[in-house]
Amino acid sequence: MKNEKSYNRLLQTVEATQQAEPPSGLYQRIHQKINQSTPEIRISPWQYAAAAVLLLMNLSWVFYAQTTTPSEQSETELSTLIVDEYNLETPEYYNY
Amino acid sequence: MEDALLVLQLQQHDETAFKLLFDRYAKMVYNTALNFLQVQEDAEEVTQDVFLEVHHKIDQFEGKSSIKTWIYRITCNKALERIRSAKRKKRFAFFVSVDDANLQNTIIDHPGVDEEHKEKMALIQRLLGGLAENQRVAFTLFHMEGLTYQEITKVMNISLSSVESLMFRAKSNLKKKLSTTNLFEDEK
Repeated sequence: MKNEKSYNRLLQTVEATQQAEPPSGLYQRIHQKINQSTPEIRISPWQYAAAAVLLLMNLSWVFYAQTTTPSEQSETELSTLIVDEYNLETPEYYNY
Repeated sequence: MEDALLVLQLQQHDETAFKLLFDRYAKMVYNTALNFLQVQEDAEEVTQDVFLEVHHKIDQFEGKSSIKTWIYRITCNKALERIRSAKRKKRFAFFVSVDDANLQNTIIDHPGVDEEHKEKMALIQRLLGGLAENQRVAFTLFHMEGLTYQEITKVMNISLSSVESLMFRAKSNLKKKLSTTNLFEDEK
């Protein structure tokens, strides 16, 4: 009962709130913000589809290139090969 | 000009139509935001955000509800976003600040609230802040905005029975909270 009375008083206080007028110049400020904001970029479903096709084409090309190109010797293997062949005891490197 | 025609013109990015929409709904948006936030500066920022959103999203408005309902919905969402963000800031400040006593105060800067009611209104706002968001929205729209249950169903996109349930729960929660305070006990 006591709670009901308190609740009714709460409602009276809340409902006694008066309407307020919006501040002056609000429209101008909104208009200014609209002019400052950049338009949202919209992509149509066709553009999404075209982007997906391009991506798939690129991926398939990478896959094709990986599977068909003969494997090359790695840089480490090559440097090992050069070092192995290099012989400091022979003067042939100076014969030029 | 009827709202349906106004929407058509807005979708053609007619500036005069936008001004007309602002003149028609600015007061409604501002007062709804003010009723949620109770601070003029915050309500103005929310009003700006609402009309910016309307301007940007008008092409997506399908006319399933009236433009008024749509604007109400945007306003409630923007106001709630602001309340959430303020709560997050308060929570963070609680960890940073050594003395959190000043964080407990609710500021009332509502030109429509009498000086004598400001203190009570601050306490009421704290009680409303303790309600679930949807209960708070239903309570505010019904008791402060004067919307009917039918109108609230459209704004909140829920059934009539859900609105009734939300209002019942808001009432019983507020009564419970009131029993722990002495807010109206000094009055006879």
